[in-house]
Amino acid sequence: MTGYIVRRGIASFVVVWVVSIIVFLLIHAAPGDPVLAKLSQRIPEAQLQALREQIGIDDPLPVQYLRWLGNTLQGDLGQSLYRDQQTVASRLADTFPVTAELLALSILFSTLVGIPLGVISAARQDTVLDYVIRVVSITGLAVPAFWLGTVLIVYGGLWFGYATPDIYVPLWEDPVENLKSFWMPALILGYNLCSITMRFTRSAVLEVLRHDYIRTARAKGLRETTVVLRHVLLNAAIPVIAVLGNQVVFLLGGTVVVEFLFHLPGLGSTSMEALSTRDYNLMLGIVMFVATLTVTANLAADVAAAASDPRVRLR
Amino acid sequence: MNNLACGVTAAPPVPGEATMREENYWKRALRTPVTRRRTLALGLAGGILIACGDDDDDGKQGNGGGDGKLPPGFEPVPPGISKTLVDYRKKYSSYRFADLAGQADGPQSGGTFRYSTYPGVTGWDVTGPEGDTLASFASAHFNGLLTFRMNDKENPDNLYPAVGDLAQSWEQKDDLTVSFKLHQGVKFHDTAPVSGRELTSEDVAYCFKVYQGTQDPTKGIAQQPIFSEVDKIETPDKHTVVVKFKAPAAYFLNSLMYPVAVIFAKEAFEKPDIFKKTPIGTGAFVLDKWDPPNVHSGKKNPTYFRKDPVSGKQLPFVDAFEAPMLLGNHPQEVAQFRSGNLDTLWVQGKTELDNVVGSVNGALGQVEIPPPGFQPYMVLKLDKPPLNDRRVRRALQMAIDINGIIDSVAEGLGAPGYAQDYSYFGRNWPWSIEELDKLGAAHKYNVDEAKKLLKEATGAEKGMGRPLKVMVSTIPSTGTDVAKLMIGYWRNAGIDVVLDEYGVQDLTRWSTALFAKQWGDLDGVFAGFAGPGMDPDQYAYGPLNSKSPRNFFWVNDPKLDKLTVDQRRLFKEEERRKALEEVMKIDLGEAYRIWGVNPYKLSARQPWAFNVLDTIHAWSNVGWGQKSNEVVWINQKLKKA
Repeated sequence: MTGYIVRRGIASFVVVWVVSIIVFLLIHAAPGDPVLAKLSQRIPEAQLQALREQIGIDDPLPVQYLRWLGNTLQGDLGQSLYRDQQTVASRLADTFPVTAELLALSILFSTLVGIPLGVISAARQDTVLDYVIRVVSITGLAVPAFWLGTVLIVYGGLWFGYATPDIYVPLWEDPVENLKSFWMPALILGYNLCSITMRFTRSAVLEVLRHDYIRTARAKGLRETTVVLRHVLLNAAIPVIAVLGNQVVFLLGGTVVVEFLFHLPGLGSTSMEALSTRDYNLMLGIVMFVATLTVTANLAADVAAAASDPRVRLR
Repeated sequence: MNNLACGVTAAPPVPGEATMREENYWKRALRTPVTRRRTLALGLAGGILIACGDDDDDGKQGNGGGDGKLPPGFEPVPPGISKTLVDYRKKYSSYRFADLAGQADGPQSGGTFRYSTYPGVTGWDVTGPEGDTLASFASAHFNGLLTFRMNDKENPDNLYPAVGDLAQSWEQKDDLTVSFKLHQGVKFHDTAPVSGRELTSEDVAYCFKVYQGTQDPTKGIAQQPIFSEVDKIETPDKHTVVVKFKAPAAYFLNSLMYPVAVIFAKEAFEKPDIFKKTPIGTGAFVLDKWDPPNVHSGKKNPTYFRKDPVSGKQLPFVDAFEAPMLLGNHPQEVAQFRSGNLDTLWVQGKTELDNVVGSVNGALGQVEIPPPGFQPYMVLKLDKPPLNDRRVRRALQMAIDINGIIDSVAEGLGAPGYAQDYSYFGRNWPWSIEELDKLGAAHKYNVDEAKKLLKEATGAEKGMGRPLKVMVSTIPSTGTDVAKLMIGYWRNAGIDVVLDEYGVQDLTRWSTALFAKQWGDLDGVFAGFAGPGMDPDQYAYGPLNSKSPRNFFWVNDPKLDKLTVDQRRLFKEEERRKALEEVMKIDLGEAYRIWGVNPYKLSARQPWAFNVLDTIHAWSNVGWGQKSNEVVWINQKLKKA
């Protein structure tokens, strides 16, 4: 087992390292100068050059990469080039909780709504209710989050004079104000995942419902609710949970638009800023943070699978 | 319209059956299989409901603030100004804000002024590369020596002459000397390391020296052009500053209104970590939160030195300002305004102005003259054939129907674009097509003449004989629409236009092209600003003198080099205006830049917010007008109502 963990650990480290090289090269290949992102006017070339030297973007790329790698291995992700009074680490620390909360609430919503709807839809197959639920779920898959978000923002203001708070307040400072900011974006982001969850749950439940042991349970005279909750749902939940896990990474991509629309200062909107201002350090920091998180989660899942199934570590 | 009026009526219930029916209906309905017939019936019912929907715009109308009479200062309206514009200026001009409901209650102290701003500020180092960007943020926390007038009962358009800020008085002793007398007892914010000490003339001298950039050229980047002619700065006593120039600098006093020519404390500047993070000035507000891209807010400075010149009351009136950084996320801004969370809103277009003012009870609209420093136009690579031929450039300008753009994109609320400050010429309206054409003879729409000039210059049967490659934004805005329509007119004249488009994620590519002059094979780049400018010099010497650091326009014209320097030396306004007109004649005649349309500034505000200004230079509180946060006041009674 130890050998397996070491092998997987080294492979994961190599993946992260290769990702860092690719991301570094891609970011620097994009045309644009981070010094010029700060300007709204032309300045003499000598001043531009001096500013470039100050932030060290004039060195050859291998030198810049090795400097960045060396600092990163020592735990220093560097300064933001655009907002140079902030460190990359501090920006990650500020923005990640926002995204994590948005993701958590979206998953919570999609699970609490998607699974029951999937079960009801399967249990009432081919009825009006089934069709309504399926239309709602297909709509969730078809309608992009940016459109739905814009519609809710525009008509929320126009018809109800309502808008979510325009300033983000951390959960630990004011939970009520915080949740007022998050309920609508979480609902929009969660709607797509909810639709996926609902459809997978419906398929899984329908499949389980056809098994002999369900017929036996009904033949025993058990109530339909008991059959569904105790015998069907538990068996159908396994593939649904696996799918949910895979969807979280895709959900992270959706946060970029939703965070922007609802003015949430999370990782998504910050990565947009880093990209548009050619803030190499911040962009690298965000991508490497997400990559490390994903690789670590996969590593943990692999190790857990290996621990529970010896065949995995022998492969 | 009521839905029932469409003829859809419900069947009367059968007595005694209702309860049982209701209990069983949903169970049966939910278990009933869906058939094609049922689906069609459902669709038909939906269609009827939609057809019966209410499409009337019966929202409460806001208070436009006008009675349709011509406000003072409006005559004469130059020929060529659209009727829509005249009508909307009558209805929504800030002149109308003098006698509004609730105005007589004030000015009142207290409350928080809320508006949307943008996250563009990268730090608080006014001397650094972000200095120009801070023009929209610094003046809430700092003061300069001079500023612009901030009372909406006065003529808001013509800002000259400047009024005192830290300077109580000033005197142009001769062409080479100007002396300032500072207010006494002015204190910096009570924030370490400055800790509320008194401001002296030494602080002013120190800042001016930094702005000169002689010791460190990477400091004072935004301010260096203003201070380039300064020779010596003397401080004969604690409250007097004397500035001596190498050559006459007629532009200097007006330029000091530029919102980043501000005074900071030496001890803060010498601690870069603090200086970048915290604006420690003498301004009306002490920084409360600066958390981009979330919020910028400030709290009332308890030791602020300024009093309202009209009421004589202590400034600022509000206890705080709070600016969520929503700019660029317009649906969210509008929703926040409609829900009453924002006191003012920058509106995009006439239709939206009508919609917003019409849908928010009591909201006021405002249509103000656009600043010459912000407008869509195209920068040309002037040393590249065939653009080095003035006939080709003039053809590009002539091929554009300015009136067509005003009527379509600007919905009638726009003016012909040209970056020179019309208010310096004693007028309240921007340049008309006729005036610009009189100066440069290239502004009247004439496709046939444009084609003829192109053929003469290039010999090509159609267009320029080769494609015109231009860089243009895809970011939704009126400026982008103007640019796209200009391109459409060129195509209409037979010019093959190739687009190099960029979006939000690629803005730096655009700034690199313009500011580092890395154009590659581009022929033109669309720009959206032409300033900064608190004095005509910044639109004359700045962009048109070959030695100016602000010249990213490839202009290298010996005649302009001489004229743009000459106008800087002229203190008599009449003489200077004539010199500036000569500069305009050459600039427009040579068509060094291709001008489009400058849309008017449209904004809306809540009925409880007063002195929310929008002026020719200030761009409301969102922009350089943030200085006017100190005179804004909130009528609490109206807000509660």
